[in-house]
Amino acid sequence: MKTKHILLVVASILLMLPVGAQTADQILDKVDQLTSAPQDARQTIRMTLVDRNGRQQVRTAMIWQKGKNKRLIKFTSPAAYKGIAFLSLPNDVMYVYMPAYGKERRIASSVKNQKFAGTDLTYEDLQAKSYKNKYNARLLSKDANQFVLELMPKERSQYSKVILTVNKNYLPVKAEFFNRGNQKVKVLTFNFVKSGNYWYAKTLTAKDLRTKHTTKMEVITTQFDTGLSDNIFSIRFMKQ
Amino acid sequence: MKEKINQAMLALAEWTVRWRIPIVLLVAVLTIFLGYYGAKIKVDANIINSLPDTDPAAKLYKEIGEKYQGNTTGIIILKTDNIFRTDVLEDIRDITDSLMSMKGITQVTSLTNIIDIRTSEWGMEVGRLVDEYDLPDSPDELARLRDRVFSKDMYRGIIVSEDSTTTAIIATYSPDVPEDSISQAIKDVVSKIPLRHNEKIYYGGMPFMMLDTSNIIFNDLKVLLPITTLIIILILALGFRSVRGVVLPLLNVGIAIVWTLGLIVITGHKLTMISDTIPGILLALGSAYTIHVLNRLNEIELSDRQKALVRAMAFITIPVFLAYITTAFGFTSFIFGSYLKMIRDYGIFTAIGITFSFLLAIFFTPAVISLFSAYRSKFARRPQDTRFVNRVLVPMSIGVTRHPRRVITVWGILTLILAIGIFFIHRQVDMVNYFRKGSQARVAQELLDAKLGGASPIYMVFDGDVQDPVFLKKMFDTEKYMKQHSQYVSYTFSVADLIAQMNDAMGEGYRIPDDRAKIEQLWMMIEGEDVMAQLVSPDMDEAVIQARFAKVDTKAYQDFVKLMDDYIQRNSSEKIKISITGLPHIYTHLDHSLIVSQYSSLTIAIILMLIIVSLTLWSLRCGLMAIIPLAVTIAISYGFMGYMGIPLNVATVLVASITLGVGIDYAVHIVSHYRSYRDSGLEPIEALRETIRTSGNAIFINLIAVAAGFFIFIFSKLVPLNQFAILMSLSMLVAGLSAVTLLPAIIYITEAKNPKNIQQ
Repeated sequence: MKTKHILLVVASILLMLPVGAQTADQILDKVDQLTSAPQDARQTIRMTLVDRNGRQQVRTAMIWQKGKNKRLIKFTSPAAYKGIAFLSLPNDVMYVYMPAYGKERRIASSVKNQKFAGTDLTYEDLQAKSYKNKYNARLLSKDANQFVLELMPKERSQYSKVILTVNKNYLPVKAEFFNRGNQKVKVLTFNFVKSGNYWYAKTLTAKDLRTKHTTKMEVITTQFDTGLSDNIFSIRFMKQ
Repeated sequence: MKEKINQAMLALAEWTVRWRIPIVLLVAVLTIFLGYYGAKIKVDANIINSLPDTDPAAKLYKEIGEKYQGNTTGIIILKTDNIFRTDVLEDIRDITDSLMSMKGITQVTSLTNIIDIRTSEWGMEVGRLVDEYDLPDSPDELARLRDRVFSKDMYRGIIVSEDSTTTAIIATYSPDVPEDSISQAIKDVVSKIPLRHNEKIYYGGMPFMMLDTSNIIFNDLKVLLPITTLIIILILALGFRSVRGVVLPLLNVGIAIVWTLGLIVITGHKLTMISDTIPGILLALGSAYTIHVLNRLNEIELSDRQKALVRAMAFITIPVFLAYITTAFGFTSFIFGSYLKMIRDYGIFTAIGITFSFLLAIFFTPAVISLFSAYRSKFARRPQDTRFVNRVLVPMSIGVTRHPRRVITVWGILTLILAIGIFFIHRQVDMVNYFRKGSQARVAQELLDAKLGGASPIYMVFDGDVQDPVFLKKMFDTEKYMKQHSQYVSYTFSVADLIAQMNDAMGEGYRIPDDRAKIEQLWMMIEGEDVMAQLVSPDMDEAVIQARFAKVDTKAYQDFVKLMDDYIQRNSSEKIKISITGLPHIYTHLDHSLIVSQYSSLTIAIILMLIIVSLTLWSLRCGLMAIIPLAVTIAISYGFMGYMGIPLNVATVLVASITLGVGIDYAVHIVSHYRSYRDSGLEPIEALRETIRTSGNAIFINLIAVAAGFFIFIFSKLVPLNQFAILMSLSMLVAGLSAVTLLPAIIYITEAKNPKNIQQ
């Protein structure tokens, strides 16, 4: 009798495990679907950088994005940075253009953990890959309002794991990044809103827990599916 | 007058005996209270903290610590057959990663994470020297890394030694966490990392030396203090041959030590390398006061022991007070005579400790004796002439009085010969000299000096508009100037270097661009890089050149300080203000303040001694006479220092004033005993012989105890304390010898000329 009970318990635990794993992947799939639905996007953004002593710097930029692999960022202010552009192309090809030199330079891609232009986001953070492609997921907990997933990188990464909190609408709320020493080093918080058919992160806040430096990225204007031409993602356009 | 003082002393002694219970209770309560705090004593081995806060170099050094995320760098040195191996690189990366994630470390720089700006025909890369996620693992890749490292001044002989055997992992400490705890945590963390290639690890730089110093200081307290106690017990047991004779002086001094340590903690102070000696010194000096009290009590042949106690106290209080006050003034001379906080605090707390010992001897000791009826049942007779007196002092007393001129001549010649040595005294302030040859700290420093560009940081601060081409060019040129003097400077690094490197990557050469817009845009590429926080102030109104001094040498420090001060004079302007600090400046200031401390504390000590001795003996002539044997002692000790190559340092600088404070008692003893023998009607020769016999005995017993107390520090692992031990023991010996030979000879000759000179 007793043995039967135990078997039943073991069986139900075994049955539950794949259900859990499946759920985590399903959740991540849904997150990817929702957050990368548009064909292309054109946004103006404002970045507010705040250091540990509360000093603030504000920058604005325009972003063109097409699919997963093409992105152009052009700074529009402050005056000193106006015209500086970063172009990311497939296969980790990246260029920077500095108007003061009138020259573009290719940037090596081996520096994924490098911070982007003084923000708290690294080139790895900015990679437009889907969560599913980057991570293996495991469901840590769930309740009526949210799921908490543990993401383990599939490829080499500056992080050992990411704890991703997703709301009941399958939109990311918070991502906590851990270094190889398993210490939490960075927290991203998202605020997703809907525009037309698409959800997008209206604000994204990145906090570096070691330097206590924060970056807040706000989308000021956004347009989706305007049929961006491939010519935009060229060195010629970058220099314009 | 004398009668009045006697009456007062008698009243005081009676009061003490009457209030014995409250006195003992008060002492017990105070001891528990101060002992509670004393147990929390901490050590501050930071030499920079010994300079006053107003010192410009120390001030700027501390400001840099706050503004640029720390000025303290600990260096972990890895030594092996070849650094350019994948397994070694993996170990370096693991250590770097582990340190990065530690609390209290703001930055780590090593071969596996150092910034690298590369130029190639197709573009530029602002990245890392090696890709930490994909370490070089083929012979080709490793060879390429090696070529890259040796192609740049920034890495060659700085991060990796030129023979590829040694590498440095540099950790910058946060100013918010105590350095010792970070250093200890680093050692703990690194020792737990399993190394793949069995590299040898050394820990170098100031914070590790400070940790070693702190550990030694605690160890000294734990090991040397009990040894000193044992020796004092032995001396007391031999002298008194009774339990009381051992227990009471020890109890007294033990309480004084507890009180002093408690007071150090309560007033927010810490133990330093020199105040480490306070307990030992209190043991040696402080026990003497209780010994005087007990001796006196033993000498009074009264069957009513309570009365005997009162009488003994009434008699002994003034002499003990005089012995106390001269010693205390010797230490007080450091308070007014030193620029260095470390030495000033030492003066304050030793003087306070001595005061505690004195007060306890006068109040607590009689209170305990009467409370516990710890009178000796059989009063001992004054010890009759011992073998030492018969064999040494008696012949000595005859010799001195027969050939006073010869005695003076011998001392004169000896003093002259030895005093020449004073000119050979050199000074040493560098922390590395605290450690013995072959010690971990010394070996690490030698490795750093020989292979990795030294460990002494230099910071040059430029105040102005950091993105202005003129400003950056000034920094760039200053670095060039510093590098030209490679005998001093092994390495320089600044934001100007990074801008020039990126300008090169943009195809416009390794220089600062003339166009501000170019600088601003290059800036964006390195903004937010960890290293920027160490190079540019958060308000972007200051930038700093980080440099390293190539060797450890006081003279080289001075020359470098002069060179750079001249450079700043010529180049600093309203628009670009330049200032400099770093260990060469700190050490030069320390060095200078050592000389000032030496002269001023010695002068103050001599003046104080002269005043107090002249007042005590009520004669300026006697005061001057009593100073002579001490002047001779100091000349001989310092001459010895010069001949033996013992440097003037934070510990040996104390010797002269302490010698004066302790040694003056011997001279006062001789003069006052001589006077009392003359008063009792003895002729000068007889009086002198009697003085040498009786005082000489007491002086030698005392000086053996005191010298033993000091000599114990010969076993400390800190070299300056060893030197202090040798010099203090020698000084005590010479002070005693000169007091019983030279001083009587001088008295004899002066008396022979005019017998009234010495009499009251």
